[in-house]
Amino acid sequence: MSTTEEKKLPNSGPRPEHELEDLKRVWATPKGIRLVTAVNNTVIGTLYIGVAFLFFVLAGVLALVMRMQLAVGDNTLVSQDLYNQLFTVHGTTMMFLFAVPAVEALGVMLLPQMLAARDLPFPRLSAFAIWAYVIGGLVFFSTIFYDLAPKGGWFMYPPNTLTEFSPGDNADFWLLGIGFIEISAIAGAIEIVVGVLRTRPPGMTLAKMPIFAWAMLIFAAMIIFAFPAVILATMLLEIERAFGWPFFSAELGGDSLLWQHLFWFFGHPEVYIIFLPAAGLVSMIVPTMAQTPLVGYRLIVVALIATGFFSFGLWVHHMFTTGIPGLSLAFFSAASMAVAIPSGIQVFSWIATIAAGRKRFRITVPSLFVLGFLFIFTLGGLTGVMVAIVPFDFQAHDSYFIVAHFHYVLIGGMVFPLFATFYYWAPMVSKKMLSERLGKWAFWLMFIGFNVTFFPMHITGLAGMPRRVWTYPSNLGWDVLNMISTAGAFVIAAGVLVFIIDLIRNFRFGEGGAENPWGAGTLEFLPNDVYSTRSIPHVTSREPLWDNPDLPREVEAGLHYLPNAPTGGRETIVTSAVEAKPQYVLQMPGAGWTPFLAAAFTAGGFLLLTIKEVGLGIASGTLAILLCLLWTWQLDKPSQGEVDIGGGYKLPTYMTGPNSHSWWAMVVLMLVASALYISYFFSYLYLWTVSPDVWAPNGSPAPPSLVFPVGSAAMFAGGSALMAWLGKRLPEPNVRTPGVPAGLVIAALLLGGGVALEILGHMQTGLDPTASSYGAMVYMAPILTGQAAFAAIVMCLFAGARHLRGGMDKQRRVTFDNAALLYYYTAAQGVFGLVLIHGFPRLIG
Amino acid sequence: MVGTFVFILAGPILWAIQLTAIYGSQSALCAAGIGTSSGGGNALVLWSVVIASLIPAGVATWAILAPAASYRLLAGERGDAAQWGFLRGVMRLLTGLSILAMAYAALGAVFLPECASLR
Ligand code: HEM
Ligand SMILES: [Cu+2]
Repeated sequence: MSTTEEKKLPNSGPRPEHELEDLKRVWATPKGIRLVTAVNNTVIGTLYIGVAFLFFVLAGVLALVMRMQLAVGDNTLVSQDLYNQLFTVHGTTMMFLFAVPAVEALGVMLLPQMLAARDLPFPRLSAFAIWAYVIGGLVFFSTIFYDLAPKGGWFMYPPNTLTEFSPGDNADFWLLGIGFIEISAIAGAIEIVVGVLRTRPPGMTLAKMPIFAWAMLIFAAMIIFAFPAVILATMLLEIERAFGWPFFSAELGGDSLLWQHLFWFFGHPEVYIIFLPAAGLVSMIVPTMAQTPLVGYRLIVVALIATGFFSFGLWVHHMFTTGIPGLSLAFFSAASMAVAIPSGIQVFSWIATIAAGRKRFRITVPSLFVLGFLFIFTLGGLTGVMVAIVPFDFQAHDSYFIVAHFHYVLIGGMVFPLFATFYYWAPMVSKKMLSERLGKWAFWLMFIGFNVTFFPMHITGLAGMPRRVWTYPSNLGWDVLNMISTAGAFVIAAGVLVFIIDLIRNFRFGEGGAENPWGAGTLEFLPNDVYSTRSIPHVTSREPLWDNPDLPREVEAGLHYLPNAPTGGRETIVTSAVEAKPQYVLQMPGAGWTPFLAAAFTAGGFLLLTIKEVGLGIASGTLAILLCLLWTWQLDKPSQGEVDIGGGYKLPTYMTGPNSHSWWAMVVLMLVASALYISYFFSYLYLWTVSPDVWAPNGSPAPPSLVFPVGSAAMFAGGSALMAWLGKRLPEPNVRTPGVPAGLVIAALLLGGGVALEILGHMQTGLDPTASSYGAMVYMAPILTGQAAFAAIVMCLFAGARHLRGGMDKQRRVTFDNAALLYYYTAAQGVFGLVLIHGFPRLIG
Repeated sequence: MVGTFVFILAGPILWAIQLTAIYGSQSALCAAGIGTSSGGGNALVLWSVVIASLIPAGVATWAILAPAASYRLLAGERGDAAQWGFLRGVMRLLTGLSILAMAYAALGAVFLPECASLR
């Protein structure tokens, strides 16, 4: 390249020697036992994906046991009770411990590389989420060995899962265990949203973002809106099991269908939560294999967004047979048809890309798995459209046809792309590539085995075999089909085994793997080290490596942005969300014990509560909170002045307000909280529509006097005003006044007081939460607000303490701003709850 | 910034509003038994579905026809041309799909008794 062109690069070379050494030192991965303190996305991402794969294997072994039991009729290999545990743990593990974590792990692992960021914006949060998942997941899975596993199926319908029909702790392991894992998934989602929107390289506008980043953005947004619904559901069910609040018991005004609504409002999007990232991966692999830019980039973005949205409008199609009015079914059947269109668009785009590059298209292991995916997923989509038709579903519901359908979608739509991913991206984290020869064996065994296992199940189902039966009489003509399925399952297992052998022989974690072995066009195939890329490229197209073959050399020579570590710590560039203009340099935390320990104690707290060790559980939870505080105490590093990242950009190293990444994270967190509250709002109205005549039931006490809600609202409003006032009057740096913490303590007291007053009001009327679903719902509102208030109070006190230690003032105010944001949100939610509970249906109903 | 995302997502947001409105009003009216005839028909539901579909569909059509005006309304100043072409294209396609989905959903109300169970 000529020197005139070189001038246009953000930085000039050669760079001083020490820069590279600084980067290496700052980003070094801890060694030995301290490896658990690591927060680097490649390290924890690999752990994450490794553990997810372990769960795939474990749940797969359970599937083999089930298939052995079903191979012939009247079999007695496992008991009925154990079979119930087997399919519940298999389904739950596959969905919650394998599929979602696996794609989230790919996000953590691949996104920073694809966006040429040094790391995601909250590395310790990802570490926390991952460790929580590893510990919680392993404990949950091990219940199958102690006869403690839940038996209610992966969707745990009440009334079957109420204490009356499911005594013992088994169901509680599901409720608390999975509820906890979901919190970890949400933490990861917050990370991904902020990461994709704010840590893209300069110049990578929305229109130039890799499709995988789009897919992960939508994936994370879906988690944020979908998971709270099931978190609320598990809370309600656990409260009913533990304290007898009758949310789901019909005789006291509850309704077990409420669970189905909440569960499927999460459960259907869940399917796309699993599928969209996989589709995103395919959209990255196909262009490389065809050496052709993706045909219809814009259409694929549209398809991803449309799927994400529409998938929230079809949850009722899982409830077609529950006696809901026909027109309601039609609404959701319509959405189920609409959602098929975008999936079709994507399939055509991939085929068109392959066709456009057919002369160059290479049959490698990743492309085989992609082709297998296209074949299997399309078949699964077709049976999906069949069961979305209400009359057909009446026939196929709860039969093996459904089992066949969803394994086609899940294994075709997610497992095959995942294996393609393993082969395609292994060189990013491994010194050696995986073997093409073994990979082809793995593919053909899995592909043939899959179809042999699951294709016959369509017929078994149409022949009338229900799902979730531990055995069947031998004279119904189901034996041969089942035997074929069982044989196929072992062929799949052989394929997975070959892959594991390949891993053992060839996967070696570390840097220095082949560089861009597939000739890809995207940034993750730039030269990489622990610090990600040496300098952060200026991006001008969707396939920067194809359009500028010199890019790897330029980046490696440090000629692009931020070729060094100017603040002496870990850092990355934060850009604007739409146009990707550089805004500031984010100082990131490094390795530390707190995420791991906090995760261990959080998991401990949940598990101890599950086995009813309340005292120990609370102690463990408290420790976890203390550790989190210790961890956040080390964040929010002070400004290091401006730094020069090259290209004429002198960026600040501290940011507050709507431009800062922590503000964004808080806003996303508030979206999570409001999704939870909206689910509650829906449940409240839903129970009313189920039995408007007994809501509240005759003989319930009159509502409390208006003094209570008005007083409570006044406290919320007063506290918010106080926070706003304080925010304007934070002292200059180095000035410490006791007024700040005092104000924060008063605000905290007002918030807590507002919640307490509302609860008190209802208690004083004698309303009993165990007597009717109405009473239970009324108390639930302040409990939910109380949860948010608890977090806001802790944050207020934290900000006050930091001020006293000189860590919070007019300029360094992020801890205060975060507390204030959550405070306003909580107060608003509290007031909304007051209006709802006191206004409807008692006042106007 | 938020405005830009609302602009892109205008269609799906309108679709969500439509679904909430039609499903909500239908469930509430049928559950409360307001206006239901003996055969399970309910003209009130029919009309609320029609109105709750036409308004968002109308707004969506306007967004497709006048993207520049709707962008100004939601997000203010436009960025560079390439970016705008992308945003507008994505918005139009998404909104088109959403109108289709709204039509699918509303059609049910024309053919089916509003409050009856199918079996
Ligand atoms: C790898 C080969 C697999 C085999 C041989 C297999 C086999 C089975 C079998 C035999 C059942 C029980 C059917 C019944 O009794 O009703 C089942 C249920 C299920 N499987 Fe799989 N499965 C496999 C992979 C997967 C994967 C990858 C996922 C998800 C990503 C998955 C998700 C489920 C779910 C959600 C259920 C329903 C559990 C329930 O009824 O509550 N499976 N599978
Ligand atoms: Cu579904």
